[in-house]
Amino acid sequence: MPPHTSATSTVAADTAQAPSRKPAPTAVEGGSFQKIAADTSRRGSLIVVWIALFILFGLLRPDQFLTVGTLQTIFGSQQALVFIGLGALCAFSVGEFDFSVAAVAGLSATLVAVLVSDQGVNVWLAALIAVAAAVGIGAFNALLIIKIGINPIVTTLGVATLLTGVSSRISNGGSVFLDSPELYKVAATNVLGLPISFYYGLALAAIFTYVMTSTPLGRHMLFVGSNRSVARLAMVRVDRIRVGAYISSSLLCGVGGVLLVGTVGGFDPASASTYLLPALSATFLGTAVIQPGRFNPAGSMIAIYFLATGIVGLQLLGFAGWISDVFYGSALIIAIVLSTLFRRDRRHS
Amino acid sequence: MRSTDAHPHRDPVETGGAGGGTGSNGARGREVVEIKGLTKRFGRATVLDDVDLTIEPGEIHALVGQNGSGKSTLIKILSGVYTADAGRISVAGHRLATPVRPADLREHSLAFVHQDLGLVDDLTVVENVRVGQYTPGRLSRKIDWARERRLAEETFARLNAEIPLDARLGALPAGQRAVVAIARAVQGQRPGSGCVVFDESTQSLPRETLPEFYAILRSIARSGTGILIVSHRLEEVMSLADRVTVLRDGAAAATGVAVSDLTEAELSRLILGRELAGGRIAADPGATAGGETPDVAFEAVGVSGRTLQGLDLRVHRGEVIGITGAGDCGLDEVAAIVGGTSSACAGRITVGDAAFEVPVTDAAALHGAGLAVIPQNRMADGLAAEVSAIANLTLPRVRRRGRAFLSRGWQHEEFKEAVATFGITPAEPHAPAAAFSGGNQQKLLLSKWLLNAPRVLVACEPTQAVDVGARLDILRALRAAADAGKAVVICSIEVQDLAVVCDRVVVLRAGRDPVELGGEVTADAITEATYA
Repeated sequence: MPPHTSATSTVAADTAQAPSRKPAPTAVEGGSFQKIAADTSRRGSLIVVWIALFILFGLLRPDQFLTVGTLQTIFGSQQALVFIGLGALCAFSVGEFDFSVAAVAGLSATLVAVLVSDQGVNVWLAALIAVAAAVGIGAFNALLIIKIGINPIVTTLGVATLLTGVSSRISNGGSVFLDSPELYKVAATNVLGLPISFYYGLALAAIFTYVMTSTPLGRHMLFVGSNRSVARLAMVRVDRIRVGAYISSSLLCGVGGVLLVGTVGGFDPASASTYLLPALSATFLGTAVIQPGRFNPAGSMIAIYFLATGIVGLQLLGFAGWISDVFYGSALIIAIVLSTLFRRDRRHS
Repeated sequence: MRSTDAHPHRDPVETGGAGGGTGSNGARGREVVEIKGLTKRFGRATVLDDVDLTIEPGEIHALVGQNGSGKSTLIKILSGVYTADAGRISVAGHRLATPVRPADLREHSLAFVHQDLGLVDDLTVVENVRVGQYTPGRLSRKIDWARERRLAEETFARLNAEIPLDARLGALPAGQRAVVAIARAVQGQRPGSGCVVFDESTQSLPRETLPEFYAILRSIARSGTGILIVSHRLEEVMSLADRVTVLRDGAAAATGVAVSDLTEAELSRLILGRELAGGRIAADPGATAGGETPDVAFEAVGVSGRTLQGLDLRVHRGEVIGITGAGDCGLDEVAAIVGGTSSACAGRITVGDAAFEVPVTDAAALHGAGLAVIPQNRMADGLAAEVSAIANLTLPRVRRRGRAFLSRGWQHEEFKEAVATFGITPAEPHAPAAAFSGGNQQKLLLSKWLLNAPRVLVACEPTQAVDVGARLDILRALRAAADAGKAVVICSIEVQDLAVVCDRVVVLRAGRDPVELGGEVTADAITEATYA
């Protein structure tokens, strides 16, 4: 027994006990049923709410909501948003911000229409020019943010405003129109009841998911997004990945713009900014699902169609146009609150 | 063995058998802080189990225990971050409501100095001291700076410290910054009352500033204020504290034991619950890596930085070399310069056969030549807190293991290997790095780079904020890496650790040439060379 027991009455008796290398109390208890159940319910909570929304609208407006037409509206009208949202996700997932996404898509759509309708440029060449312009804007963002070191929020908001103005000048202030059966075919051919670009969106999300979860690049992006210093010290080429994120973001938005104008047959440059908030809402709301607390493409996709379901349902219930702003705005706030809570939880789990 | 006294503050119960009369000035009477039966659970884990703690006026009381033993939970309950599940806290005889409210803390003169000191570098000294206490003028609502300065000055005078009030905090030396943090904590207290809690505050202080820091603590205690220090440094506890409370796995292994009744070995046994295998961790005689004439794996010639001067170093395979020093000697620069992340430097380094001019422009090539650097700041530069342990562990190798596809197999094998080698707990690959205790995080970080099979491993403060048990595991692992043929360099101010494991120790000295100690390196010899 330790010699000091005589002097101290409260020394615990088991001081000489064999190695007590118990796991720290903060230890994560692996594999318990409750934990898995809790985890699954959290991963899927948005999906549950989504299904509940379907049931609710179905009960309230059975004849209007539960129709093929409504489903086609929900799933067939979000392609531009999918490309813009996943573009924004490129930046978010490496810890950057790109608020120029919607404006880039808008410029791209405007360019295609103006080049083809007013300048008589071949539609494919016009699409190529639009996408190339988008990539150039991504590179410009990257130059300002990474090489010069300007705050990304200020930079991309500035660029967004600039591009909106430029689009408006190119289109002479009004809407632009495009009559191109070839582009329509590529963008909107009906496949199993939905425009083909819906499947482009799915494919894009699948590729994005693969990159993030199963490739060294995705792993590097994860670390650049969570701790740049750790990534740099592990010889990850941090700046290259950041530049790549801005360029990919703009690239996807450029393509999204081309598909948008091809599907709709026209574009109002002033409407570009209306895509920004839904895209942000969806990407943030997406962090509450599939991989809680983390930006993930599958989550963003689910969030996009969840939001579309809500908007369409509310409109069928007779709410006017204002509802979409209220809905997207509150979804963004709820999404940020949830993602913050999940992150905190992840830190202390 | 808890007393079930119903009137604790009328009739104080002596919890520590040797407690009475150990206050440095012999002050008796009511405790400044009395904690009784404190219990806290997180889910099913009980992290604090029926813990008692009393702090008497004028004593320095140490709270020690391994990482995860419940120390920080106790402090967080005391400061109002967590709510206790059971137990009570009384300060100066007043029972506090839980969760503890900041207003109560202030009213009863219970103040905290946290690990990172909580200072803002860009503000002035007076702004840092007075923040949160500014009193606006009655009509103008303007801050009366003359008054604020006077109050700050008075506080510094009480601490016998002279600090320029208008200096930008970031420009102050570390020792003075600590004084600013103390001043902020104690300014509201009536001299000689209340209690100040120092939560690992010495962790971030350079060694040479510690005597001054300790002197201030002692003078605060002499005035009659109670002091609670939370510390990993046993030598500090032994030399500074009057009494000690030891937590182990959430329960008190010792409550208020007089430090004079303990030896350092007994204290570490109380903390660990087992005997600490002492003595040197020597090279395995069977593992003379590289044969009769060990290769030079790493060489530095005339390496200088902002304060580092002319470091010459030659490390052979199988060797563990320590680098230490005090003050502006450049110790903190070594890793950045050698690792190729610093630009303000000169000299030449060689890793294996590859020679590099300093500053190194191509850090990746340096890395490719076989250098691995374990950064000092674990959670800022070593591991990504929110990312899983397994992803953190395997990060340096994901590109090498294939461009297109990241398979799971090798990652799990690596994690298994790390767990087997280091005993990382929990052995939970997908838990985020932040969920591990400090010691386990350090083991994870060490495995991350050891698995990279480096020629040369440079570890900065590998035992910082790590408990006694994990500390030995880590030192042994560094020795084992050397036995396996690597060259190991440890940059650390923990001279005890260096003495335990190093073959040679280079002591950097501000403004003078470094000295190298060989043979049986002792902690005393290192300290002597540091301050000689």
